[in-house]
Amino acid sequence: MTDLQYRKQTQAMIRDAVRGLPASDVAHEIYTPEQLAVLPEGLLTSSYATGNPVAWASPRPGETVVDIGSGAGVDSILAALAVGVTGRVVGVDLTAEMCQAASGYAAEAGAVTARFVQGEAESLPLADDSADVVVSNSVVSVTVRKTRVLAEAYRVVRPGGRIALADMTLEAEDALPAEVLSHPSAWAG
Amino acid sequence: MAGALTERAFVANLARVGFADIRVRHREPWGIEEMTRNPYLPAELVALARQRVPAELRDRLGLRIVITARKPT
Repeated sequence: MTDLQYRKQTQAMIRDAVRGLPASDVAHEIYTPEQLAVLPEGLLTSSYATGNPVAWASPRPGETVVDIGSGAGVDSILAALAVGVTGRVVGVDLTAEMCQAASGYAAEAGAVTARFVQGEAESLPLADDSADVVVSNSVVSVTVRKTRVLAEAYRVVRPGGRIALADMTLEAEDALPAEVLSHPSAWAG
Repeated sequence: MAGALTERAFVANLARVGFADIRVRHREPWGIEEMTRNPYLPAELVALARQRVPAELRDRLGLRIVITARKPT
């Protein structure tokens, strides 16, 4: 199977999955009590984070932050609250459903500068050098052309800008059965 | 899960596209149980993975990491 075929299949699976995501309790393992306190209750059960990139990126007031694969919006909202009304946050997600959900949560949280646009991590709908900070959480691993995603992050962040990526890695590659390694849904998650 | 990079490959790819000051800020074991609670995985695949991963590797199949880097000026 080629990368492009995998890409099509994994994106289809992600689109299907977001329509029926089960509640998650991961947020309480990942985020600080201060961060959890400012997030809407419903959003806390919609996080599948593997890390806390906003805490490491430390966005400052007035900065522009891009969140690649923003999902339900946890990291975008935290970033928006950090950059304040003089800053800007753009969350990019594959599905319109997630962008809509994230917009609702952002309004609920008072994250007025966060906006969410539908787009692909491998082809961000953003200008070159347009961000001070790029964050992403559990997204690179579910894309097929990972170097391309990282190249897109590089393209949109300005010279001197920074990125913080949270993700999972697979350190014992040969431990997974061949059926799992070759299954498109295992590439989507 | 199957498509995840190793930490070394992740760092190498960041360097390849041009990032500098690449640092792994957080590193924590991410075993088969954590990897397979991902909602994108169908139940039969989760069962297969949990059943077939050798016991000695179950808890050190992967890591969850946070990496920071900077675009050179």
